[in-house]
Amino acid sequence: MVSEKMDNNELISAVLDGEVSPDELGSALAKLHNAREERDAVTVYQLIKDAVGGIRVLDDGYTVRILRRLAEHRAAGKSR
Amino acid sequence: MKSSTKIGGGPWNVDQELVTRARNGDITAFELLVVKYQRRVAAQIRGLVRRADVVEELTQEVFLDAYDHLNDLREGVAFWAWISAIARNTASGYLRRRQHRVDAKSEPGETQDDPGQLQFAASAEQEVIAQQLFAAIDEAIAELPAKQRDALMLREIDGLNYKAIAATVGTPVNTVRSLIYRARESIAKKVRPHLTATRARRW
Repeated sequence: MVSEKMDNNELISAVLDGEVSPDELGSALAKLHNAREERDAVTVYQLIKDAVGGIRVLDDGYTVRILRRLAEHRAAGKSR
Repeated sequence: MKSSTKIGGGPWNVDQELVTRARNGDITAFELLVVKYQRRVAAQIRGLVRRADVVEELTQEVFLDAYDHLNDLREGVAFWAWISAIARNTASGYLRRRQHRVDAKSEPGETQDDPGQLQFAASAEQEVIAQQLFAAIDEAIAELPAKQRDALMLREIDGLNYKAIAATVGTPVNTVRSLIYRARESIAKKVRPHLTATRARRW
């Protein structure tokens, strides 16, 4: 279980660096579909990536609000 | 934008593949692009419009616009370059509209920005969390084993891909992948306690 989580998180880390094969990307996306732990790894690793790169901003609901608005947009079938 | 080697084929790009999948209806693929780039887009807009109160709204507009026009992204053009151009256009449009309003109404409040409002409009709670969080990140980086820290810095500061890092530090590519993952996970363990309060407000 611990090993599986480690493998998943290593995969996510590599996805964020753009360093995976198409099959690995497909596998990562399948895991990310509504998977809370893996999504947490994505958000925390990306926060670290941005912070090390000099962008030091919390994501206090920012992404969620973008995605909520996108969902509303898609549901309404809007094309801008 | 780094490219990886596609198994059995030429170079390919993860972001391009995420766009392709999003075009085909995989919303998780687009959500991942939002998570990856929202801070960079927001930072770019913040630098252009210099008004904290409109950054979030404009950032949302950028991603909605990108989603609607995914088919316009040409092969070979990096997603970041493309969405960065959308962000510049969105910010320029906002500034033009604002200037028109100022010209038309000469609203005193619209003509000057408060220098104290040029950062994200953060609550006191957010400010405290942010200070503790970024201090914890710095501390965690300083405590990393040298190999992990070197690999992470070569990736994030120098922008090298895994192959180039492997050549630089003299280890196999798979080892670089593992070193960078272990570095991030070590840092993550130190920062997660500071993020508990915001977990429900993250992806």
